[in-house]
Amino acid sequence: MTSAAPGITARTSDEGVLAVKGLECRFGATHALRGVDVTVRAGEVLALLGENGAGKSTLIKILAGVLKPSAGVIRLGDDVFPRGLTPEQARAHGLAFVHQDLALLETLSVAENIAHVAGFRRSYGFISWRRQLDAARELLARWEIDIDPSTPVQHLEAAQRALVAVARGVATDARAIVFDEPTAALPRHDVDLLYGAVERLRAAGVAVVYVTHRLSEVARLADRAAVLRDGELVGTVAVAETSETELVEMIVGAKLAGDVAAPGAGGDELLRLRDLAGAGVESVTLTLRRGEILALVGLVGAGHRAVGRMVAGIEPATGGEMQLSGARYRPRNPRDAHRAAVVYVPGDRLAEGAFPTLDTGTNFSLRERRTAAFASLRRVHAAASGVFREWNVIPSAPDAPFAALSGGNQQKVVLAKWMTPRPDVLVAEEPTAGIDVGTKSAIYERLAEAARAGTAVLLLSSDADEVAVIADRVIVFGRGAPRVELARGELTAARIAQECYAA
Amino acid sequence: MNVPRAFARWGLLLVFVVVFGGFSAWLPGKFPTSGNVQDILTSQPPGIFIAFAAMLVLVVGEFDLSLGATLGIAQYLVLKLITHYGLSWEAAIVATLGVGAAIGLANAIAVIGLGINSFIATIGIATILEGLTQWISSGSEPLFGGAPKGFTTLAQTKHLVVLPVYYALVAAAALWVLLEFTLLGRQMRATGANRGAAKLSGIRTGRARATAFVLAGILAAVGGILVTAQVGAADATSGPSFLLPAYAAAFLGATAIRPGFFNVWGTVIAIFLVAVGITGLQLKGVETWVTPVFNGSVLLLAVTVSNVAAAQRVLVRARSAVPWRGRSQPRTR
Repeated sequence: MTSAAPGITARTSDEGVLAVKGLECRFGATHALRGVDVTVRAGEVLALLGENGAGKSTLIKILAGVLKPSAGVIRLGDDVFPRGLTPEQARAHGLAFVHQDLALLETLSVAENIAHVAGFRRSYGFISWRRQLDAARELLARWEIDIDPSTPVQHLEAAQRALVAVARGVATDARAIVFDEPTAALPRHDVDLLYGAVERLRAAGVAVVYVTHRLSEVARLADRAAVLRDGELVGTVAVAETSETELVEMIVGAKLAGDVAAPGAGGDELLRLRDLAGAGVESVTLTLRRGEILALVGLVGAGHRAVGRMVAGIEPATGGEMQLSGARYRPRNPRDAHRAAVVYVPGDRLAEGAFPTLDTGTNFSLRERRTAAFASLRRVHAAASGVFREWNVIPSAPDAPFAALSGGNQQKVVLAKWMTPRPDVLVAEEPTAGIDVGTKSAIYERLAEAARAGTAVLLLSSDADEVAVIADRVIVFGRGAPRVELARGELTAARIAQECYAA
Repeated sequence: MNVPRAFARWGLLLVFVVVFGGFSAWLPGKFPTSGNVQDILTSQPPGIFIAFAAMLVLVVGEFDLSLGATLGIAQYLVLKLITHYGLSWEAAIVATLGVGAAIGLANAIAVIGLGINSFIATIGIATILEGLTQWISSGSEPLFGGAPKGFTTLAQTKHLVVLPVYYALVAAAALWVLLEFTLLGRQMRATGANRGAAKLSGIRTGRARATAFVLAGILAAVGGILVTAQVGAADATSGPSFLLPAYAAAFLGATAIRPGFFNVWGTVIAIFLVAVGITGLQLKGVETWVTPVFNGSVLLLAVTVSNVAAAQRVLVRARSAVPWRGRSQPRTR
C-alpha cells in the first residue's frame, strides 16, 4: 500500500471497505485456510461460496473475532489488523454480522437484543427502557420491519428473527456486514423479506458478504462471487458473467454432481392418515405408499411439519386415526414409532438430531436396540465405521467428535443412524438444510435408494428446488390442512412455491 | 390485561395473601398480631441476603454452592476478629466483607479462569471453606459473648422493625436497579440467557460472571454478619443450612413478577411466603419435621403451576399465531 500526501484520496474503490490478504488458519494438522485474499467494496454484495468444510465458516469466524488467523492481515477501511480482530474491534470498525444461528438472546426482548450490540439508551446513567423501546421501534420502522420491540425473541417466527438479527447488525451504522447463510432456516416466502433488506443495504453503500449454498440466491443478490475449496480461494468472478454450471464446477471441482435417479414409482399403501388433528393441524387425510417420496410443503405454521411429528410419535394426535400396513397405529412417543419401524430425522441437527459433544460412532449407536446392554465400544465403533465408509462420511473414523465434522458430514451421520437398518417409514425434515451441493446430491441419492428398496419417505421441506428434484408427489399445506396435491409431472420449483403462497 | 399472564405474574403474591389470610382466620388471636409479624420480619434478613446471592449467580447461568460456607465463615470470622484480634467492629465488618469478596473471586477464578464447571468448582471451594472455618474456630466451637454494643445495635435496634429489614430492602432496591437498569446488569442477564450469543454480541461474559460471583460472596458475608449481630454469638457450623433454602427461594421467585427470570422481588415474596407458612404451622403446634416438608412441597408446587401456565400459553399461541406477519394484526375468529 503506497502512502499518499495529506488531502489526497489515495483509496480507490478497488481497495474496498473490507479486505483479507494471505489469510491462513491451522488447527493442529488441519489447514483450514491457505492464503485467502478477498476484497469487498462499498455498495456491493459479494457471495462467499464453497462446500461444507471449504473454509467459509473459518473465514467468517476470523472476521467475527472468534478465531485468530495463523497468518495474514485483515483490513477494515484504513485500519490494518495483522493479528486478527477482537469482537469489540470488529464492531468498533463498522463490521456487523448476521450469524447462521442468528445468535439472538431468545428470552430477552427485541429491543434488548438490539441494545446489546448498538448500546442502551440511558438517562441519568441508568437504562431508560422507554427510550430504548422508542429507539428500537424507530430502527425497525426505518427497515420496515413490523415487530413490537418489547416482544421476547422466542415468540417470533423464523423470518422475524432473521430480520431482528439484520436490524441489530445495521443499528451501529455498519460499513460492512456479513450474512452467514441467513436463509438456511427460512421458508421460501420469508426469504424475500431478507432479500429486500440485503438490497437496501447495498443501496445504502454498505459492503455485504453473503455466505450461501443456494445458487439461486447468488444470481438474484450478488455482484461478485468468491469461491473457496479446501481452504483455498478458487477464484472471484462477476456473477453476471458466470453461469450456474460454471459456479457449481468451481465449488465442487472435478466431482460434478450427477442427476438423481428417479425414485421408485410407489407400491402398496403403507401409511394412512384419516382426519388426523393435533396442535396446529386439523383434518388431514392422506396415504403414503411403499417406495415413494411424498413431500409435505408449506409456509411456516402451515401444519405440514406437525403432521410429520405426529406420525413419528413426537407430538400427540388429538383426533382422527393413523393406520400402518392396515393396522391401527397410534404412537405415544418416538419409541413406539421406532418399534413400528417409523423414524424421524429432525431438521435441527444440533438441537434435536445429535449429541454434538460425543463422538460420531456413539452418535450413530445411540438408538434403542442398536447396542446390547453391555455393548463393547470397539464393536459399536466397528459397526459405525463400516456404515460411515459406505456413506462416505469424512472422517470415517468413529472416534471423531461430532461437532468437529462439517455440516454435510454431520448430516450424513444423522441420516445413516436413522436409515440403518432401513426403516419402513422415514420422516425427514429439511434433510439438506445448510448443506453444500455435493453432499446434497449424495443425500438425495440415498433417499431415492431407500425408496427403491421399499421405504416410504415423508419429506418435510421448505426447499422447493429440492422437492421438485426428488419428490414423487407433493401435498401443499396451508392453515393446518392439505390444500393441493401435485403429481410428478407438475413438479417445478416455481409451481410449488406459487401453491405455497396460495394455500 | 391478559388473565393467564397476570396470574403468572402475581400468582405467588396471591398465594402469599391467601396463606396469610388463611392463618389469620384460623389462629385469630395468635397469627395476625404485631408481635408475630415482627418475629417473621426479624428472622428473615440473613436468608434474604443469601437468597439474593444465589439469585445473582443463577442470573448469569451459574451455580454457587459455596454460599452457605461463605455465610458460615463470615459469621464466625467477624466476631473472632473483634474478640481475639482486637479489631474495632467497623474494621471487622469491612475485613469480613473483603473475605466474602475474595471467596467470590476465588470461585470466579476457578470457574472462569480454570474453566471448571461451577457446580464442581464451588463445591470444592465450599469444602475448603468448611475446613478453614473449623481451623479458625478450633474444631467448630461456638463463640459466645464479647460482641461490642455498637455491633449488636446494628442488628437489634428497632424503628418500627429491626434495622436488618431496612438493609434487606435497600439491597433489594439496589439489585433491582442493577439487574434492570444498568448495562452491567443487562449483560449479566444476557450472559445467563445464552452465553454464546452474548459473546457474539460483544459482551464480556467472563467479566459478567465474575461480577456475579464476587457480589454473591459479599452478599453471603453480609448474611453471616447479620446472623452474628442479631444473636450476639457465632456458631461456626450453621452456614450450610442456609444454602438450599436460598436456592429454593430464588427458583420459587422466578415463578413470579417476571415469570421465567430470576428476579429480586419474586425472591423476596418467595422468602416471606415460606416464612409465613412455617410460622403459621409452628403456631398451630405442628412438629418440627413438618417445616422442611412444607418448604419442599411449596417449591415443587409453585414450579409445577408455573410450568403448566407456561405450557398453556405456548398452546394458545400455537393455535392463534398468524405466522409470517407477526401478532400486530387483529385476529378474527
